[in-house]
This record gives sequence, structure tokens and C-alpha cells, in this order.
Amino acid sequence: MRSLKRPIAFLALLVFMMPFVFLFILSIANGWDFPNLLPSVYSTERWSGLVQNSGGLLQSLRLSFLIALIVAIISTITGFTISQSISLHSKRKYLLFACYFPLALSPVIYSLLLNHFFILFNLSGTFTGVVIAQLIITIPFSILLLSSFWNENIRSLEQVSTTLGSNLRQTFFRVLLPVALPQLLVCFFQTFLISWFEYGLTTIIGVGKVQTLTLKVYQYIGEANIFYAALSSCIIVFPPAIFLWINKRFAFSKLN
Amino acid sequence: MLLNIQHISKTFSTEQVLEDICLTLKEKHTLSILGKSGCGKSTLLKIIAGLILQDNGDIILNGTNINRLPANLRHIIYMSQEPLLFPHLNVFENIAFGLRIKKEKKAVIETKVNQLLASLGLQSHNKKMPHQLSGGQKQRVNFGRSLIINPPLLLLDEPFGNLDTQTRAEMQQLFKQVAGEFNIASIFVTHDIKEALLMGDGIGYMNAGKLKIYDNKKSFISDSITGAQQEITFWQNL
Repeated sequence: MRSLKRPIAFLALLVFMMPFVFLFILSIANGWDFPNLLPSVYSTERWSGLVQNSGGLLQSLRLSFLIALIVAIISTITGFTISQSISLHSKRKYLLFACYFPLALSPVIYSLLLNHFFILFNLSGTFTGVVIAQLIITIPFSILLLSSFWNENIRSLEQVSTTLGSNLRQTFFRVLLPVALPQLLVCFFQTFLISWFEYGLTTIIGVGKVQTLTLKVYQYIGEANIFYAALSSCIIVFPPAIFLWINKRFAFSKLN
Repeated sequence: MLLNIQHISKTFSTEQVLEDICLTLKEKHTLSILGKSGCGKSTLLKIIAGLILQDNGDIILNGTNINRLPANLRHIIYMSQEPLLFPHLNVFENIAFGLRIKKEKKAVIETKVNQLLASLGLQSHNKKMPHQLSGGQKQRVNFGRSLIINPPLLLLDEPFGNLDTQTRAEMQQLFKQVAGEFNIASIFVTHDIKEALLMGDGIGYMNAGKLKIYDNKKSFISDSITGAQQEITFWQNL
């Protein structure tokens, strides 16, 4: 059994890495004709074009990163504070149940339902509008994710800190925040990823004016431009891969 | 008189948890309170610490009514069955916590914490994290963390309830030694008759939210509701 461990791990790694390798090859290929196993011509033209912002890819990358960062920060902070208030509320079960509604609906249907209000407040097709629309999904997600943090043990730690002389601010910064840090990191990365890969809400609320990287990928696929679609897919996968590694390295290990 | 509790009552929704509780505690004295689970012992201690608000009655500490004083300004330490160390801080930092809150100087913190670590036999564990300690060691750190701020009063809610018999006996000895050394006044709540008799200078019995304080240990033993006489008879007939 022990001798099989390494080959199985290698196979799993191969299966996991294969799509990424395939995407990378596609992004540097110039024509890939059947039945060739690999492309006949390679070029770094598209990657160097990225640096010069050809096709607006670099701009989309920046935009996606900024939206995801803002959404993740706001969701994590509000999720943390709201989940604390909910944990102390007498109707917490119902309030937590209500948080599932935005997640249960399809983002496209959800955004179609909300679109009227975004038009009404002149938020349709704007950066702010897209951020708000994504927050409607990510804040309830954060609340649900962080609600388990506020258990009896944490309340007792708060009490210990208080009797040792801490005021609310000191208890928050010296006890609650450090203890919650691994969960907060997980929440931050999860909400970042939700925003990063978001398509339905961004398309409808952004009305094509807010061109995130995910929208670009779909646009290239729609144009049957598989080489540019592969390039943008490579870019779209890179930051989450780094975040997942950081998450695993610093957050999950502490959670366990 | 250090502590004077007058006519404390508390009701949670429709259930009366405490009914007209009165007690007094002298300086450097320990009052043991014996009671079964759910009799209201923890609620009483949390009210004294300022963690729960009473419905009626007064708490007078050193002649001052502290009913409206927030828990963080009372400096009365509530210690529960679980040591509840801060999981992100090592032993040294857990003990130093109260001093850091008070913004004491670094050198003072270092000296005081090292002295306490020595008193509690924890010098070699100062860098360890809470999850690396045994139950007894955790409770020692808990003591250190409480004692370092010189609290006027310690409230112990079955602090050794989770420990094995030998460690429990060691901790009882340690508490008596430390209480004497630091001139600590305390209320020690337990459901163990032997521990109640051993730890307290005075003794009380709590049942269904009512507290009865005895003049001495003899009257406590002779009162049949405490179960002390039955316990003694059991051991004699064994």
C-alpha cells in the first residue's frame, strides 16, 4: 500500500496539472492542426502583447483584481462583525437561514431581479454597481462562513479578557482578531475567488461596460479565439493558485 | 469586610436562578460554596464578576457599590472549569496579558511574569503554546494570568473539575499556597464535599438558587441537606 502512495500522488498531480499545461501550450501556440500531438509553431507574441495591453487584457486583469480585492475586504470585515451580532441575536437561526437565499438563487436570475434597482440608482454599467452586486452574494457567504466562529468558547474567552481588564477595543484587537485570523484569511480568499470568477452578475449589472477578465475569457470563447481564451485563462488561474497556496500554507494549517 | 452581597436575585425568562442571595467575605479568606450542577453557582459568580447583570440586590466591594461598574474595571477574576488560555499566546504572554492591557513597562512585565512562573513551577514551559500543556499546567497558567494583576477577589467555578485525582490534589495544595502567598480572597465553588471542606475558611451550600452560609464547618457537616454526614458515614463503614 505504501509503495503505491507515490505513483498515486504523481498520477493525481499529473491529472491536476494537465489542464494548466494544456492551457499554457495553447496560449503560446500559433496554429495546432489535427492530428499533430503538439502545435507546430510557437510564439510569445500574445504574452508580450499582454504587457503592452493589447486587447485590453492587462486592463481587465487590473480591474478584476481591484474588484475582487475590494469585495473580499468588505465582505470579510462586514461578515465578521455581522456574524457576531447575529450570534447574539435571539432569532439567529432565522437570520442565518435568510443568508442562504442570495446563494440559493442563480446569479443570473438574481441579477435580473435586482437590475431594475441598479438602473434606478444609476449603478448599472458602473464599477461601483458591479462591486455592490457581488457584495450581495459574498456578504451572506461570509456571514455563514464566520458564524461558526462565534461559539461558546469564544464568548468565554471574551469574558476572560474582560475580567482581566480589557475594554471592548482591546478584547477585539488582542483576542478576537488574532484568534479569528485563520478563519478570516479563509473567508478573504474564498470571497476573493467568488468575485474573481464571477460572470453572471457582472455581465448583467455591468452591461458589458465593466470588462473583467472572466468576461474577456467568455468573449474570446464566443469569438472562437481559443489561443487568446487560453492566454486569459492562464492569467485568470494564476492569482487564485497563489492565494490557494498561501491559504493552505498559513490558514488551513492553523485551523487544523 | 471585603465583599458584601445583598439580596441578589436573577431570573432567566421564567426561571428564577438566584433568590435573595446574601453573603459576606473577609479579606484573605476563601468561601467554599457546595452545590449541584444547575443550582445557580456559576450565575452568582458571573454576577459578582460583572459578566451578568442581576435583577435585584447590591454588590459592595471594599465599601463601594459596584453594581454599575463594568466587568473590566472591577478586576474581579472569574476562573471556570476550563482554563481558557488564549490559544494564540504562549505561556509567558498568557500570564503577561493583564499587565500588557495595563500598559506596564516591559522590564516590569518581564520581572513579574518570571517571578510568577517560578512560583507556579512553569519556568521551563514559558515558550510553550497552550495546546502543548497538560490540564494541570494549563490551570497553573490560568492562575498565573489571574494573580499577576493582583485582583481584589478570585472567583473559582469548579476550577479543578476536569483534572484527575492526583493533579486535582496538587492543584488544591498549590491554590492554598498561592492564596496565602498573594493574600487572595476568593469564592470557591465546587460540587465535591471534600474539596469544599478543604478549600474554604467559610462554607455555604447552594440549592435551587438559594444559598445557606454556615457559621462553621461543624454545622455544615451536621446539616443533612449538604450530604457531608452521609459521605463521612460511607467512608467510616467501608
